[in-house]
Amino acid sequence: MSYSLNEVEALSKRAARGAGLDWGFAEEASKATRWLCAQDLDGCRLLLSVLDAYQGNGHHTQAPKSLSGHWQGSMGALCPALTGASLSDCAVQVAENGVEIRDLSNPTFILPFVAAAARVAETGLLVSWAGATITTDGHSASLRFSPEATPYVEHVDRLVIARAATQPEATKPPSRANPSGQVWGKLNSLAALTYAPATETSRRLGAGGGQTDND
Amino acid sequence: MTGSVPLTVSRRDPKCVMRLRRLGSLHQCRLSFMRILTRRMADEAWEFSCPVFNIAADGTGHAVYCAKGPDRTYSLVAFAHDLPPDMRSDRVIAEAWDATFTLFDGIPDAVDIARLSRNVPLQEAGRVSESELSLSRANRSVRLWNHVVEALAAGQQPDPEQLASVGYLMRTTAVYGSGKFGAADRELIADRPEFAAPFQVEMLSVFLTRAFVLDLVEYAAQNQGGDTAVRLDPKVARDLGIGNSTGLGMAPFIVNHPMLFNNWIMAREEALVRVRQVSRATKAEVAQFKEVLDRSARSVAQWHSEHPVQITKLDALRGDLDAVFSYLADHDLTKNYPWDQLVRWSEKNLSEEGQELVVSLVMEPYGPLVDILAGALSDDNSDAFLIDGSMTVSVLKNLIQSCFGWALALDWSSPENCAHAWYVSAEKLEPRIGSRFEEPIADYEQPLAPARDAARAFVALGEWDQDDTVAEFLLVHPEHRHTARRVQISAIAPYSEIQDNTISEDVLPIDMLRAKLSFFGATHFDPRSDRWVRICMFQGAPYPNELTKENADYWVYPVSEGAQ
Repeated sequence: MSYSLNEVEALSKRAARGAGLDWGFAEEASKATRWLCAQDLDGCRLLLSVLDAYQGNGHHTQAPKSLSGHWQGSMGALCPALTGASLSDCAVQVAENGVEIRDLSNPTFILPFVAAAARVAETGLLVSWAGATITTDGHSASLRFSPEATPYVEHVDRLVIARAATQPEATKPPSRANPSGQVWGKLNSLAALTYAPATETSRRLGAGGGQTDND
Repeated sequence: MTGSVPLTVSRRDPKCVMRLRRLGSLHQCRLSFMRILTRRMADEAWEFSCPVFNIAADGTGHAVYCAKGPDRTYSLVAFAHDLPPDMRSDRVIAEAWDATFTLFDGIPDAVDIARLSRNVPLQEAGRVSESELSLSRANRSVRLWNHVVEALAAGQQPDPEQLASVGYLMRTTAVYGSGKFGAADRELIADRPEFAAPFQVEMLSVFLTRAFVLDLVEYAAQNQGGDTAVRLDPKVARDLGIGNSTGLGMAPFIVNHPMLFNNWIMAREEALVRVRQVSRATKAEVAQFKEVLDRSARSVAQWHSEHPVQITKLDALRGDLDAVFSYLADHDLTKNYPWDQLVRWSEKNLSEEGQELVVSLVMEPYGPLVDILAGALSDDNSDAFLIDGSMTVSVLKNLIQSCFGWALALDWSSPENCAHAWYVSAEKLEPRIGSRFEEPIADYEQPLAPARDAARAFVALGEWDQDDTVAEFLLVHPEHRHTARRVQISAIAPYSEIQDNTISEDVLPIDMLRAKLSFFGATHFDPRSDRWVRICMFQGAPYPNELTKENADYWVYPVSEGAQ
């Protein structure tokens, strides 16, 4: 089914929060998902993969342990939503000096955050990992993958962000998202974790009824 | 201006303007979204038509109303239903309605209508597409509807008192736009001049809905009365608006869109400054002010509520109006910054309802100064969302202090200060507010208490080296990330934050609803509890086929009987 990008953003925020991300991260992950959909990538599939890895089996993906030198986790893979948020926080520094990120889960999900840094620093940025080269000016992105690589790779050992020599071509962004029913359903299940179960009190008072609305 | 000393007036202090009590006392003004719409359509000589009115004798079927602007045509597709009385509810959670609508981008063909007829009547349970800009529904005021149909069918005009006591034949519940349920995203249409200001799609949808409702009631009377039936007197029809019931779902909007809400308030405050800086008012300007004041007093006289808080406020407002009339009898408005003096006087002598009414009214004679600010109402700065991590902890702390200083002194663990929590209910997927200590909702709390969260962040920031960066702080304290964002927005958007506790024991969500609805241009706010409010939209407005430059703007103020 075709969804509006606002629907994607709204569900993504709830799903990210349902998966346990702090509100600030959930806000950014939802805008990132929307940006990916607007680049004609399956942002919903990428988000679900990010959230699965974040929740998975005690091997939580995590934020960088420090923002100097190579960015890496203290004992496991980095989460691209958490790492991406730090990237956009450090936009100018990243644009000036570049950064190398080690042991990163779902690397494509970091692109919207690099794009945000590119907009803030008003410069083109180049993101590369094994088999992938992406340039962005913040608004659009040009993605090149080797035949064996895919945007949906779940992990890379090393990703490098540097200033780009070339700019991506401006493209007309898609205005809709077409996630699979399965992915959409799983995001809905995560979102449902943020909904408070109804109680008798909330049924009675929740919407502040009491007077008739039928006259 | 010659010979007079320029007056320095600044915009009012957010600490005053953004209190909930005051936000809950706002009135429509020149910058209200309904008036922006009708002014534009009249200026551009939009054409209106009803190419399809396919309603059966039982009142069911569909109709299409087209609005043709300079570059594009938009069509309201209306479906009329046969709703059993026991299913009639204005709650957003209802599942059937008297009429359902969508605003179509263009002119729908038979295939579009067939697709819409399978989806629009289902509202949330259906899907619309990129070709649709809004989705909405309405129910009849059963009392008034039956009376009007019976009167017209019998060849008579309805009883004015009954009309005045309700004010509308149908009321909408939700009017969804911005990509909801599959409709087109706002971003797709935001570059069209007619939709540059906020909520223009929704307002256009309601404006056309009102035309459909009039046609439908006359059609029902015609069916019932045959040759005896008459049409509704156009003057009477003008006084009928479209009602609206708005509940808690809308309250979080102004917290969730800090930059947008800032822009609304900022535009109104800037308009006020411009008018206060007028050193001399012409006789024509004074006369115009006095006329809208008279007409506004009529509107207030017609404004009724049974809610104790609103009753008190209305009593005060009526007293305020008397005081303003006395002031005008004693003061010559053609001299010495008259509007600034009037505003200063009102701040000392009137209730908040009265003060805010004066603010709205003094703008009326100054279209050229004020109306241009409509271009500043939307939020085009989406990157204000990005956090500047290079800011130091010390600067962020200072920003919290200046935006939320009052909140730092509050004991947030004290039950009266955190009695409520906002959450989304699993049953209805709608925002709700509940009692933190009586219901199991705290684990599901939405981030709708910015002041409390800022106070928490402030404590955590105090334990950091003041030269550390916000990026480093947030790496360790991601739970304060949403607060850092808001606080940085507040630095460039002084009216972005409500200067009150949104989870206190005595918070009134209706204040948040009114703040938003006043910008729509709603009138006659009638809180039905602390949590939902009835309003009237487009009451007094010309119908589409009556719209002219002369009547496009001041329709919100009722004219006296003699002037009609």
